[in-house]
Amino acid sequence: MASTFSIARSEEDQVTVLALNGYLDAYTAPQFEKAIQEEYDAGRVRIVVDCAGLTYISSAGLGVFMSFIEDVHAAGGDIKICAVVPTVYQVFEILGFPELFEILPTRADAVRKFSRAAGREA
Amino acid sequence: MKPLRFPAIVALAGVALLLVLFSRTDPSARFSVPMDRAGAIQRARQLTAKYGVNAARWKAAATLVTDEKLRAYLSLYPDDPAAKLFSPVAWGVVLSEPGGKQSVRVKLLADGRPAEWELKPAGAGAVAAGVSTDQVLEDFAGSSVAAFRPADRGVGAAEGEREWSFPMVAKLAVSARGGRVLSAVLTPDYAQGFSYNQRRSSVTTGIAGIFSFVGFCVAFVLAVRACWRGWIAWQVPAGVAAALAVWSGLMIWAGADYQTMVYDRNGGLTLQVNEANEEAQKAAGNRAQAARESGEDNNITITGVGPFLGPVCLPFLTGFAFAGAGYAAAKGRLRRKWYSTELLLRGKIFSRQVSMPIAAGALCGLGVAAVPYATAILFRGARLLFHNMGVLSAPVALTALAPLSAAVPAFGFLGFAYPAADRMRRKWLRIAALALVGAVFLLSLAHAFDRVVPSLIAAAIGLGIYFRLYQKFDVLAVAAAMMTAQAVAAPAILLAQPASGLRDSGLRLLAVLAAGIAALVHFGVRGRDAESGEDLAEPEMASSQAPSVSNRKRLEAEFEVARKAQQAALPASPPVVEGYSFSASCDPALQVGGDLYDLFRLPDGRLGIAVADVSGKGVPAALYMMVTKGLLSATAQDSSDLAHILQQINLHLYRACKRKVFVTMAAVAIEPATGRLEYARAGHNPIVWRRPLRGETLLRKPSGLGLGMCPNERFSRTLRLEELSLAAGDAVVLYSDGITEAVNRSMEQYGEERLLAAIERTDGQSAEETRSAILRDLAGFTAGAPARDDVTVVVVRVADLPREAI
Repeated sequence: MASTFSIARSEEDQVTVLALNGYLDAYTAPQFEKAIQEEYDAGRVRIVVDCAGLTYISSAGLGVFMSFIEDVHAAGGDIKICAVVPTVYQVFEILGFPELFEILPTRADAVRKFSRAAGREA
Repeated sequence: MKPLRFPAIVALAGVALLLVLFSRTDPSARFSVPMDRAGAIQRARQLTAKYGVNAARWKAAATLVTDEKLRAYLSLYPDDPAAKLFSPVAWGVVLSEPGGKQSVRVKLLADGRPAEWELKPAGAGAVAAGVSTDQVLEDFAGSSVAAFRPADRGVGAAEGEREWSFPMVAKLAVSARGGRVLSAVLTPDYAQGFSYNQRRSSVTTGIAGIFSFVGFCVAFVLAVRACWRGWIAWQVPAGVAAALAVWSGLMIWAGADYQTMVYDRNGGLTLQVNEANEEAQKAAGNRAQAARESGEDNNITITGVGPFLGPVCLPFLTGFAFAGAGYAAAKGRLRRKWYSTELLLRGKIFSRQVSMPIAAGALCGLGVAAVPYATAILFRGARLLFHNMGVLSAPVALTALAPLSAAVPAFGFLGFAYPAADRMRRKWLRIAALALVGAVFLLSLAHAFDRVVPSLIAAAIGLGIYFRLYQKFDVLAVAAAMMTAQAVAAPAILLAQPASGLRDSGLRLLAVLAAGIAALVHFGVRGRDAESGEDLAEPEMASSQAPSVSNRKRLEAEFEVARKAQQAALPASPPVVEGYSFSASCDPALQVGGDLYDLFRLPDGRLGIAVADVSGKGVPAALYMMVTKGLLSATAQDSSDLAHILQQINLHLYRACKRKVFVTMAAVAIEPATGRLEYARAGHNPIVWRRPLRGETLLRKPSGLGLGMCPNERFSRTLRLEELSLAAGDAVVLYSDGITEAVNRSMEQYGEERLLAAIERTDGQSAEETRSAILRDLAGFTAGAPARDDVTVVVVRVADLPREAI
């Protein structure tokens, strides 16, 4: 199987955007886990995961989201998910992700959500 | 052993080609050399004795020398008088005094006439009376002697230097002192307007050469830097150095002729004497001639090192440089095809994951070395078929072996350029970089023969073998194949010579190679496993790589026990309930799985059914599967409330798993008498409800989070219980995502729609028939593609409800 998976990292308005690409399965999940762990360790807890390029997610990939969400919340941040393609969204929905994560249509929406929240706090 | 079958076949075919068919490709096939090695040496001794040097007891070394320019000239003008006088393939013989510093170099043409005779050093030693220069002319010119006229040497000519000329054909220069001959050289005098450009000097191959050279330099610097920084274990450079020393030693031991022969990329053979640590080394053939033309013999001092620099050091150094640089470039983002290289560079040289690809590559290298021969044979065959249409006007030069050496830096370049290119953000930049690398690779290969088509064919076959190796194994295997091919090239050249003595050397060298490869194969098949430590980027990869044999047997036995324990945890036979039929199955993708189903009686008399799926794969998933099964059994003993049961499981799983692992579950409770079915879904796939009477198929998807994902409070808030009423003929199917996410070879998913369609086709069938129909349809779709996930299905079919319920 062509396990093509890559993560592109960028920053917008002090929000970290991790754009996922390809297959997120048991083989590639450690890569994703490492990427989020790095953000968390560096104290950057305002994270947007852009799933526009994500074509498949397995339970191991979902587990990565789960394993960080509470730590990130505790640190005053959030993980927001955006631009999910329908097939992947179905998987998120089945597992109940919309209950736990904010899922937004576009990256701009997600980043704006963060900056608005920051604005309110200020 | 299985993964080595293909390389072994290639190697056997290659060795067979080399040993059986090589004689057809030797350069003497067209410009024949009737003398054999012993005859050439004997003739050289006779001539030397005649010229007043007693060389009867001197050591002799001989090799065939091909003059490419002359060959091209005679192919172009076969009727030229030069054809009678010269032959492009000649014997180069060096006679050297044992322990002394004197030596005689003789070049003998096909008919036994000398083309060169030279005594070195010129003034040393007592020499018996010599022969007259006219006698020398007779020896060299043979039957054409009448055509030679004395040439005017001019005023500055030294005493004793004489020259004859056969206009437009040849020149003979004789140097004599005090009545004895010191040297005599017969050189062709080419027709005006004839120019010979060796392909190697063309622009494209020049560019390729520059790229290869620069690539090597850059790679070497990067590799040294990586060593310096500690990215590469010290064992690796030490291992390379040791391998180099051992290899050189073996080559010297195995081939006496190897010491006197240097194979260089120009393809010709250059004869050199390696007189036991003496600097008195003489060169014969092209190189010496070129040196004499430039008036100096100063290239001789380096020749002692030469035999090792070219064919021995270079492959090892190149391999080391490119592997190191590639690793450094790819560090931290290695793909599967790089793992063995990573292990190697960490010093785990003797692990199976490393030795297996190296063994496969080495085996294939034997086969690749035969590629130019195979191509040459192909073209000779074609030439016979098309009756001398000039497809192959000249004999195949030994240059044919050059692409194998050129391929090493080129592919190595690819090896580290690819991961580097992968880092480039812009797609077109990446594509451009890779295209450039590919072009360099092809250009390096393109000068195999002096004609384009056979060159390209040889390149294509070689590339095909390398690509297949890459597919089957990894980058390391390809690198090993290239290095071996180059190492085999030297014995192959020796083997291609018609003389028996040299052929023996070639065979001995091949035998050494074969022994080395056999040792590698042994390591590859039986070597120990690198510990599948956490320091590997992807632990799952390490565990999926085959462990050593004894270890594997033990693991297999243990996995078998685990698999049986898991199967035993599943209900043995479906319950018997009047008016209903049940059928369930669970097929793990690996030996142990993370899927689970259960059918059980709830305390209130209802029948409970659950299907669960633990996130992840393999052993961790299997352990949590057993935990979930235990929790389910325990809570379902004293609670009939589906919501409560799921909450209890969530509570415990959340505590136990710390969110790293979660479980999805679909649970139903059926009241057989009424057909009322209550259901809940904890993050699991929807429940399928097929209603044949209404002709509809529904996916029931009440909200609910996965188990073990969040604290109970939140879990309870989202969990919804729903209810439906079963009618006669209805079916309810619970399944895991192993079905809907199963893929075929073209990576298409089976999907919900195909599942629903399959279920719709089973109206009227029993639960058992429905389940096997679904699995059959799935198997038909995937058509043998390996299952990625466990496949679990539970089917409930209502035959007919008890009358009072309707």
